[in-house]
Amino acid sequence: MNHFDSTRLRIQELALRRAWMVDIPLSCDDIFRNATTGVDLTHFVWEPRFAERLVEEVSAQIARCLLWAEDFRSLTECAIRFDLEYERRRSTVAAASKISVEALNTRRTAVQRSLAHDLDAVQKFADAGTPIGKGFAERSRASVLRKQSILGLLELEIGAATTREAIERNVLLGLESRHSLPGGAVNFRNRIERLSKVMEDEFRDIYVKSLSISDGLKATFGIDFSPPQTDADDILARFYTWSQSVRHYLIKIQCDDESTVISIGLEGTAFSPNQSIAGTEYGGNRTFSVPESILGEGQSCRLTGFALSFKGGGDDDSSYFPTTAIVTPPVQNSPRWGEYQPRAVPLTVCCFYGRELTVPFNRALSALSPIGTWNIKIKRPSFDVAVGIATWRLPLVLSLEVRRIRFRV
Amino acid sequence: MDNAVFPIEEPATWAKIRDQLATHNTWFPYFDTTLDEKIKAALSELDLTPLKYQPDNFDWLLTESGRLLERCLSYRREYMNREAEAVDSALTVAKYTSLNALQGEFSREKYAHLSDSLNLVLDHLNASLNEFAEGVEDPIAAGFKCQTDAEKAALLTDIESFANADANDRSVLLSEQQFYDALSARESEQGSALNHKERAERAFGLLVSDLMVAYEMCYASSFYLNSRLSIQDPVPLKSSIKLLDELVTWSRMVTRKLELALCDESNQVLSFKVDVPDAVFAIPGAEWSNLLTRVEVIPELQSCRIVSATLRYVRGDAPTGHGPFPPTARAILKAPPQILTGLAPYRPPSLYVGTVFQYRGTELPIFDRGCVLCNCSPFGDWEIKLSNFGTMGPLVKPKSVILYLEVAALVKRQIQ
Repeated sequence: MNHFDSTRLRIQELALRRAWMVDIPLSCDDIFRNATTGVDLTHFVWEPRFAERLVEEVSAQIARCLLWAEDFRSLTECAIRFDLEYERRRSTVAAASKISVEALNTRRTAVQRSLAHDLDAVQKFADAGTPIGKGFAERSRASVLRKQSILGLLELEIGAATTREAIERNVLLGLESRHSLPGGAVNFRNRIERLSKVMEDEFRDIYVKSLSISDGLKATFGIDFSPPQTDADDILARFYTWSQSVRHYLIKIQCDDESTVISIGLEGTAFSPNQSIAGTEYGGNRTFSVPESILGEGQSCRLTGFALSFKGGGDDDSSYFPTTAIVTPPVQNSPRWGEYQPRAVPLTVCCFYGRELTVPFNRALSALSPIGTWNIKIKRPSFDVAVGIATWRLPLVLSLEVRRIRFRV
Repeated sequence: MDNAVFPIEEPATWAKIRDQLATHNTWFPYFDTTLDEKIKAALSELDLTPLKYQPDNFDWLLTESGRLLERCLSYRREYMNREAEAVDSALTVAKYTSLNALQGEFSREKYAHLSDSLNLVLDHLNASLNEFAEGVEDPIAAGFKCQTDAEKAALLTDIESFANADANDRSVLLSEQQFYDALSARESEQGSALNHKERAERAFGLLVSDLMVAYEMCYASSFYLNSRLSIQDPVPLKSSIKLLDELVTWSRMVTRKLELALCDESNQVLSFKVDVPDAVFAIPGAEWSNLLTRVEVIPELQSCRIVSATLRYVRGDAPTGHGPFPPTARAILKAPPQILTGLAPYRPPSLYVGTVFQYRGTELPIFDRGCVLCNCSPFGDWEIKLSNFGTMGPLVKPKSVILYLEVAALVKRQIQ
């Protein structure tokens, strides 16, 4: 029996006796299962392509949760110990008091009976009238006094035992009344519930992210890193081990990564010379494919940079203003959610003169697979300062910066 | 029971016991109110206007407030544990003090009672001896007298031993009470590990300080989230009794929504030009010249934020960029005011101070300038100050040159 099971049993047992323990989460595993049961996975917040970033976040979250789990266990243990101690003290106090008072009463009855005999003896010795009789009468009176003294003492002891029990009972009642004090430090139920809520939120995040990570790793690196089953025991520790394995794997394969820029020339012009340049509509619809042949045997890749530019030729080009293109990335494939179309994103088209590219890049395109069919629409500039028709005859160049992995594991 | 703490009357409620404990422990009233109530009282003094943080820095604010909230949860745990220890300790000390007092009273009464009653017994034994002495000729009476003498001797020993036991009992009770008194004293001693109030106060101070900052950060960022990223969830009220939990939940929910919002953003370069009048160059020795321009809202870019910006000259006549320009070395670019829901427009206090780059028709250089302009809206009135002096001194603009400044802002827009 592991820690969680034994805790669960103890709480279940206590819950039968103590109303305040009913319905509180029994273990971290239960909190995890509560948090992940019925989670809507049809709309994913954390996209699989961000696996490399997500695994870092998940590791930090799990580390945080491990501390919270310790806190949860400490609180549970405190609650259990408190409850057991309460039960023990209550029963001990009651039993001790009962035993003590009963014993004292029994003794009092015996002494009272003996006292009655002594009183008889006093009378009978006094009636004898001889010195021996008188002597015994005095001795019997002494005995009477002694027994009366014992009776007085017994009364005192009974009073003290009753008072002692009242004090102990008051302490216990006082403690118990604090159990239901909202926001109180020994209102363990309240503290556990609050902690569980925060943990549930974090666990849900960890779970959903782990599914995305798993999918991302499968799609990008071809490796199967399924997260642990949520019905397993000691689930948080398992997730911790899993996230560390993923991190180590990623560190290892990132050493094998290579960056490369793939430039694809798009033939033709964005607009025909005869078209008006004053408008702002999108035109020049282009569709092109990035073939899987850019990869070597067993390779995989993801997009880490992107630029779309007009390729110019001389210095006489100060009038080339940047314009916008609407870029639709290729359809992506997620093992869990199947095929999905990433959103089309507007991007600036720069003038490119064969110098180093400055690539404006963001999350919208980050880590997508470049393999597949792209669609690009060019927008005409909204201002017409010194823009020559010739500008729009310049060929478009699509530059994709991709990171390739040498070997698909 | 002079030292008794607990009322004997029943039923004992926490209120009664708490009052009793408070009369015996000066520090105890500190724990009269719950932590939630304390937090609520402390935050009621928090003044949220003007905003302490720029809403533009929402991403940094949310990250930082997340760290602070995590610390707050740890401080809360520490405080709660201190409170539980304090209550437990106060109850323990009070219980033993009461029991000691009871035991002391019981002992006093018991020995007083024994002393009185045994002396009476002694009187009767003496009387019995006298009676037996009268019949001393009778061997039986003489025998009983001897037996009564023995009994009297035993009684005298009992009386003496009870007196000793009384002294011993008092001594034991005294030393026990001294132990609990010492324990109680430690609970009020400055810097003592048993000074639960001091430790709780320390944790509470740190908690409130961090929570206030976290709340101000969340509050400020919520304006940005609301007006620019359409994340409408209001920050929990600072008067909420469960503020810490609600703020943690809010911050996590917002983080999730932000993830979706940021995935729906895309980069775009927004350029606008600012004519540079000849007069700028005609003031010898002038330090800075003001240029103003207004950038109107572009409907399709309405929801966008600057992520970096640069200033450069564009020359209308000499595309190669060669020549005496640039005449200025540095510029100050003041971002336009932000219009935020529920707030008066405010001007970001930070200034962008940067070099004006000469444009030679190369690709657009975008320099990330960090958080100074970061996340500002590009729309509104820009103010640009140009320094007339480069390292070469004032220069004269050739009449044939059309010169204007171009401000290029890399913006992120929400994908519709």
